[in-house]
Amino acid sequence: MELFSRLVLHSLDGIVFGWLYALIAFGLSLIFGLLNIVNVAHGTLYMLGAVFGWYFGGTLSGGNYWVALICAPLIVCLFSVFLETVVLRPIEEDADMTILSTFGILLVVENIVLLWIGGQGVTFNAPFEAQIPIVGYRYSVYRLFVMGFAVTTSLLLWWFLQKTRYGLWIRAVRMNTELSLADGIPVKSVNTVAFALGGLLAGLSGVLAGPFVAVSPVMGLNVLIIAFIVVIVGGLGDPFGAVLAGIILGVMESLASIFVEPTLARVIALLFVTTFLFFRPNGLFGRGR
Amino acid sequence: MALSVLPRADSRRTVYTLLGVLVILLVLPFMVDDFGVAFTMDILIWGLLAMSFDFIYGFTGLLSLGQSVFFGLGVYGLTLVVIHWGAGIWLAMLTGVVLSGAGAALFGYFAVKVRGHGFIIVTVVGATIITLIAFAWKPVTGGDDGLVFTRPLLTLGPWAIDLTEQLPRYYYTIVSIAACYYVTLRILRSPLGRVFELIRENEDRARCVGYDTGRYKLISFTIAGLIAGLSGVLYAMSVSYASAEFFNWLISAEAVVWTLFGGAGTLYGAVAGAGILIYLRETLSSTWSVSYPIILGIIIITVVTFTPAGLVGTAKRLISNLRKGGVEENERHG
Repeated sequence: MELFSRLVLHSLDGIVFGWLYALIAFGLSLIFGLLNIVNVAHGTLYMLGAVFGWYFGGTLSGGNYWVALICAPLIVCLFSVFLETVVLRPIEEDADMTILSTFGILLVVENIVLLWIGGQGVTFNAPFEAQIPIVGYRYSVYRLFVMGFAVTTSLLLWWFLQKTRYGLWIRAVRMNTELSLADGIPVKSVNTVAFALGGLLAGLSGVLAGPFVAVSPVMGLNVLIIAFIVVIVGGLGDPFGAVLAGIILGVMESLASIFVEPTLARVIALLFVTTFLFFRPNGLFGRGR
Repeated sequence: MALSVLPRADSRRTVYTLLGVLVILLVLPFMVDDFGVAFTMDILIWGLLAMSFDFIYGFTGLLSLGQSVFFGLGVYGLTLVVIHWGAGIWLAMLTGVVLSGAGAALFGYFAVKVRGHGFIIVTVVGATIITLIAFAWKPVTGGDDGLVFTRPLLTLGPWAIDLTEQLPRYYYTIVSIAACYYVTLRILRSPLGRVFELIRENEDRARCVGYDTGRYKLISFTIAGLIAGLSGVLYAMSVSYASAEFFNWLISAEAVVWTLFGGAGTLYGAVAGAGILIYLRETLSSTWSVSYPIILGIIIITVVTFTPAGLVGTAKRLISNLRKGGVEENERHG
């Protein structure tokens, strides 16, 4: 395969993965921006999305992917709301304790899933196997579909944050919780909506990524770190920064893997993205140093 | 965490408490079996690693996930000089600790430039990269197979003590840890320690008063690295092998959980948290071999929900409430 084609195809792969990272990072960033909670269990939500995707898309429905695409994110969303209202609300004042508590959730959920599907991991099929020619080689249509879906979701999210009442409230609470309370914004339900949205997006990314990654109980932890890096490098509460950081990370890793082995590729990508922190500590689009 | 809950290093009560704990640890081998001794040693070594995290987080306010790197450097510093030069114990320990300190100074030089949450990212990315390098650099580190070495003799003047025996190794470990604990306490109670706490409470204000906060954060990071290095050295002496897995940031994450569980900013809370969680892990895993993390997770969530200040913080509050109650009683009667 000639170099040019490889560069194009790997860049495409990188954008697909990067945009999925960004979807996961959105939720993390929303929760972090509103409640100052580092949700260690956020990667677990992504893992749950993939596992329910496998359950609904493969086992239960006899292979109907679309059922999974609707059901799995909704279940993860419900679980995320449960997490916020039952587990985190009593301790949400204390950032340290939320780290511990969400770590506890991670232990519990990850090991229940381990008992359920086993440590080997499972796979399920994409809804279509078709491939189309790009720069002389065949590329999976499903990956393009994932990219399109992720882009659409991001636009919807932008619309939600900018044009709806709850979106406005979310931005207000992020700016100043006390003032929002004084203005009569229902801060508690705003927080719940943020968790619901975060769970929905993480679950969705899980189902979308499911067909081309290994679905296993430990898949959440790696993604958590990547999502966290994307959130901080992109700038807290800045969806555009998150998308750009996600794509830079995804494309860098994908391109580097042409020339070096995969682990080294990840090192290069991580180093590259982290250097941005030294020059733009308030996020890619953040002001000032 | 507005007020320091550290005991005064020079007060009589602290000295007595510390001596009391030390005496209990010294006579412990005569009260429990071999397994209990090995277990205590394990807990204390991991507790020291948690203390190193508490030093940088609980007292300076920097959430570092890089402590495993300095733990690993301590392990490898000792292992490599023993294997390649046949170094004696003191040179080997010194190499391990100094290597960790130097590593922490270099790592910290970059990390403390980034403020706020970026710091967490820089430390976790740094630890990930160093772990990957350690796994890939097989000729030196042994990669995932690791390196096995023979423990050097503990030479004290004319005596040479064999540390492959568990009992001498136990005493060697607790004396090292006690010394490190005392020195750490002195540092934290010194004016330098006060500057660290000032940075934790409000870095901008510290800068306004004229402290070069970057320099102080680097000093704190380096000291924490030295402590983590010592725990690595002791761990290497305890298991007599080194593995690239020791650099993994997940080990740092465990130290974070132990410290927060016990209560950050207290030093002994970190050790207590490590002790309780490791004890639970061992007990549960022998009872329910597969699903014990589920139960451990539920315990963590429950404890956190009901004792939000960490175990030590909650115990302190209970005691002070009891005291206050007592004082009021006296006043009413008087």
